[in-house]
Amino acid sequence: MENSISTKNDKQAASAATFANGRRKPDALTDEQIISDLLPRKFGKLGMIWMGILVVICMVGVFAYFRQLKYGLVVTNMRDYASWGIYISNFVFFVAISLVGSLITAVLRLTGVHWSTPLTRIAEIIAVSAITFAAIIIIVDMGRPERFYNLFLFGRLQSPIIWDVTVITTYFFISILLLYIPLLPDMKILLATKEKTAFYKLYRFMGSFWKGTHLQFRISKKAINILCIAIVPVAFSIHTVTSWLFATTYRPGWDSTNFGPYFISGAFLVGSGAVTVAMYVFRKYYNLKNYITYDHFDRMGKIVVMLGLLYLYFNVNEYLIPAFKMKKPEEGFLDSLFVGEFAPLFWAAILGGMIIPIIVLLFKKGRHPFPMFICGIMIVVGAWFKRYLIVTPTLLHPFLPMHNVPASYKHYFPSWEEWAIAMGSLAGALLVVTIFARIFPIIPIQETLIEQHEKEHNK
Amino acid sequence: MKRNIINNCAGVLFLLLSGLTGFRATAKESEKGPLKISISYFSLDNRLPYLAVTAKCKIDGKFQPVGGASIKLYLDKDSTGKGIGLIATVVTGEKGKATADIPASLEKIWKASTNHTFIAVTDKTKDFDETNTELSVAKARITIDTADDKNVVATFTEFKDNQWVAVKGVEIKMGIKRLGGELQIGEEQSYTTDSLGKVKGEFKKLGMPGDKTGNIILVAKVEDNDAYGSLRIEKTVPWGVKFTANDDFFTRALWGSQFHSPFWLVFMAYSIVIGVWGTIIYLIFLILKIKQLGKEEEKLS
Repeated sequence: MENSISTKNDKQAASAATFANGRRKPDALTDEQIISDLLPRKFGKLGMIWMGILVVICMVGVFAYFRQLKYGLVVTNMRDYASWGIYISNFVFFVAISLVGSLITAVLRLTGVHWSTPLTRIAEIIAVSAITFAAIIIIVDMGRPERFYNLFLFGRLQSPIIWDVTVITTYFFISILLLYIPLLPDMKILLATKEKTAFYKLYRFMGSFWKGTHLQFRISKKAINILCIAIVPVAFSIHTVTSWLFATTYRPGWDSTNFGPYFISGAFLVGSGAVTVAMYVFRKYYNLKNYITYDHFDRMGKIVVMLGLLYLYFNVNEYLIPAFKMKKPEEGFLDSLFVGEFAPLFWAAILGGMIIPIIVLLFKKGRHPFPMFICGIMIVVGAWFKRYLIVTPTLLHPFLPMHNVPASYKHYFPSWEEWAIAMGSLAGALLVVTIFARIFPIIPIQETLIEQHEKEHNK
Repeated sequence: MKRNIINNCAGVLFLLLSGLTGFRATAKESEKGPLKISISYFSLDNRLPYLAVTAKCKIDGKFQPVGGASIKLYLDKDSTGKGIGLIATVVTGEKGKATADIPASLEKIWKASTNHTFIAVTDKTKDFDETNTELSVAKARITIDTADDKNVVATFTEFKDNQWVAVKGVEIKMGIKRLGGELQIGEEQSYTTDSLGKVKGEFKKLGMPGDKTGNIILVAKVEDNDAYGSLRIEKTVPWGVKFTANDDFFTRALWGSQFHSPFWLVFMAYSIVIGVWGTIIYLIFLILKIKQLGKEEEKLS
């Protein structure tokens, strides 16, 4: 027995040794070093340029939305048939990406996985910013946003739209709590080390009451455990309900009983892809090589492969079975995807967003930071277009033939206002993550210290 | 290379030529034809009639409605010069149509003759020359009678020599008034009056849904007759099936209205919402507890 444990430890030690030469684990780090490394810091030149670009994109989006408010939805290219365009695709994308918070934080924590600790906050802030912009983009899609309150006054409990509004609001609050409560111990460190910074008052407001007592830790741990349990069904609900917005509508491509798990598996994949990209960026530009190691990329890569295969499996179900039957009403829709006007986008999303990343990440070298970063981008971009392909081609292939309608009704390509608003919302989500990383530690300091101490103690 | 340049030049030349030709063709096609006014005469339930006028012109080889056309309508030719027979001045809408009732002030002129001529006059505008259109009609009326054996009899008469005289050979349609139009009462689409001015049709639409008391509305009409215009009369008869409103809409169902959700859904949805939000509230309570502990710790230190 002892021999087997020692063999296992030897393997781990050997594995750790492979991270030498800049691939060091935080084993050898002092507390001061860890705190100093993980504290938020001012933007450098690159950071300022990045912020500037995001702000400009957001402003263009705001201007485009102002035009939409002024002139109405006619500034978009959505018409009678394609009445859901990239706004709804973007909404589904945001909802999908927000699911990662529950995967990395809750599922891995509940299953006793500790290596994901440095990634939890990255995942949670991605979840919070994504769910915020999902809510915003759905209001953008409304022609008369000032009438939004009618949804609450006259909404029917039987409508999936009401379920979606309820579950998005709930998920937003749970994600905020899951971001906030684990942040409390770090507040004490921030208050102790960032006295002269502009954010000191904010830190005081948010967490001056955290004294790090045993009882406080115990209650906080209990709260986090409750949150981790609560967030999983809510997260599953949010994307299942979003999928039901489509699946409860009888249309080619949406008439599926598989839509719930199909959407959830896709959401986990894109969320993991987004975390991978964020891991690479923070590691490189915040110099976090000691905390987000090759080991993290390796493990995340394996998770991405598993989720990619799962999503691919559901895609095969969603497209191959209807294609095998090729029912007449669905023929036009499937043709447009496989060989028609949407074929380049469809195959790019399947190959670039799933198959190529899966193949690359199957190899150990493929799970190194840079290939992971590239695969992450491919997955995220592929996922965005995949949502577009779920929404638009179906709307352009109704059961009844399109007769006596203007030619523009038969095709859809977003107007510049739609592109600007969609890109503005994506930039907005990135801006939230960027600003958060400027104010708060993007890797939990206290948890890293505790894990470090536990490792030293175990030695 | 040289060949490419020649090809490109030829292409540009072709585009220019086709563009110019297209422009000339468009310019030619957008020429307007003369304004065409048509008058229709309507009499509903044998009451004072009204007129409908339509203005249109040919654009791109097709008749298109002319909106905003000002049309003066007169009763009888003789009165136009004197200005006393003016029925109304109407302006056509987007669909090139306008209507006008014959005013009570023209009652004397209306009663004075059995035949009347309606005149529509438009003045010269920058787009169109002046026009003058006439429509002559004879005063007529249509009546509808029913018998217990569910036969429908419509009679068409004309006002002649101070009395109503039956007219033979007039085409009459008889139907049942429904929401989107009329349903014919039997198998015949239309009937032609006999020497007594009568047509007879058998009501065959048994089991037709009526109103709450089982009433349905029978219709007899003459459409666009050259001599008499359009006449129409309605009669309510209790030949329908009593309609009982289906109040499923207000029962608790998935398709029900607001506050009419099925109980199982209400129970499930509110249980989940209360469960999850109860947890969130409990978590906020835990945060407040942490805060309280912090304050106590601060006091102690």
